[in-house]
Amino acid sequence: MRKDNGDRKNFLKNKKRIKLSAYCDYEISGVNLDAFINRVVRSGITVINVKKWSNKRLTLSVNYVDRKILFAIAKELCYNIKRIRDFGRDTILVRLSKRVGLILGAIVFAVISITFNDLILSVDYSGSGSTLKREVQNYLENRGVSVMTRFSSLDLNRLEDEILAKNDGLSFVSCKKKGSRLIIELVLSDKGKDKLSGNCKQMIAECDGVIETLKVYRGTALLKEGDKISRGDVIVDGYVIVKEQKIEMNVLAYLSVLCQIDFRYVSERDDQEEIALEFAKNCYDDENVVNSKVKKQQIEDKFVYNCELTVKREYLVG
Amino acid sequence: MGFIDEIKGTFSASEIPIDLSYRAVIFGDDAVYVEKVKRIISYEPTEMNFSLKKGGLRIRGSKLYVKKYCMGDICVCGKITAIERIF
Repeated sequence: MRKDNGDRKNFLKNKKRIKLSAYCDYEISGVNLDAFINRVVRSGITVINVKKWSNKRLTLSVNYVDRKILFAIAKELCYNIKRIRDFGRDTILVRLSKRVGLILGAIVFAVISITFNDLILSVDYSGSGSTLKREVQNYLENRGVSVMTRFSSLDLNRLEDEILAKNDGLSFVSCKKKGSRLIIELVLSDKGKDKLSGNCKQMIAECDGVIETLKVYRGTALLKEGDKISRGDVIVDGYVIVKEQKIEMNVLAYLSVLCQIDFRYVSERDDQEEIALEFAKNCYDDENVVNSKVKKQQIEDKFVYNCELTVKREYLVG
Repeated sequence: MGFIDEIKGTFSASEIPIDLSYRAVIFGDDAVYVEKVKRIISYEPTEMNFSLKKGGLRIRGSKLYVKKYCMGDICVCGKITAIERIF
């Protein structure tokens, strides 16, 4: 097809613009709409779906990139122009290009979500073993698990096993990731000395020693850490005073006591301190020995070794 | 050599006058594609008049609308009943 000069110019003009497959529908109103269409086409714009609804109203579609020229022509020729809708394959691209802030916001949001999804923002404790929260917290801090630690650096199954192994008072531990929270479910053990009945009225000392740790969750502490206790002493009583009123309640407390145990080893040989100490430790194998010392004494032809063992005993009553 | 040129070569202009001021392709009675349109003279849903290099062209029908119009090419759709040459 041969083009005349004007058409060729328009053709070249159109070639320079990158055409998108996005179109806009417009409603034009005014007199002599045929002249308007001719004027638009002469400007190098391709018009699509030109429908005349009345002598003074028509609708047409133009490519998205031509919309400004169309508006300029309509304004110049004093036609009323109204945008109806956008359509076409690339409409989404066009809409997104207009909302750069929104896209940037979405990208930033996605990056923040992905980053923070891997971070522990809080550690929550649940279950009956929450009374041992402080012990578990201390353990986690020593292990390097705290707020802002990455979930990817943790093996939750292993963490469960370790917490369970370190706390005799627990029978079940579950660590779960919920969003950016680490949920630790703790269940108290039902066996042995840590069995909780729920109706304990007092915590009474079961041995002589010095209080190392005393944590009272319910009740009133009558002694404090560092106090010496004798067997039968009341350490925690089942009441609290609220606004000068004494309210009775069950006791829930954790106690660790350092008890001193004397052990005597008699031998005819000298320099048997190590054997004596080992012997003593073997006798208290199930106890947690934290300190030990030996004093030697010679009585006639025999050597008496006095071993002093400091044993840590823990009690959880409630 | 194009098809039109071939025809022109075969038949001399004195025997069969071949007007090359426009070219129209008719798709049944649904659409017509016209090349070398200079401008739209009048546009109604029942009748459209175009100005060509020489003379004009009239398309009659119903529910007529311009499917595409650019750079001298126009495609008119609708129920087309007649295409007439205007001198």
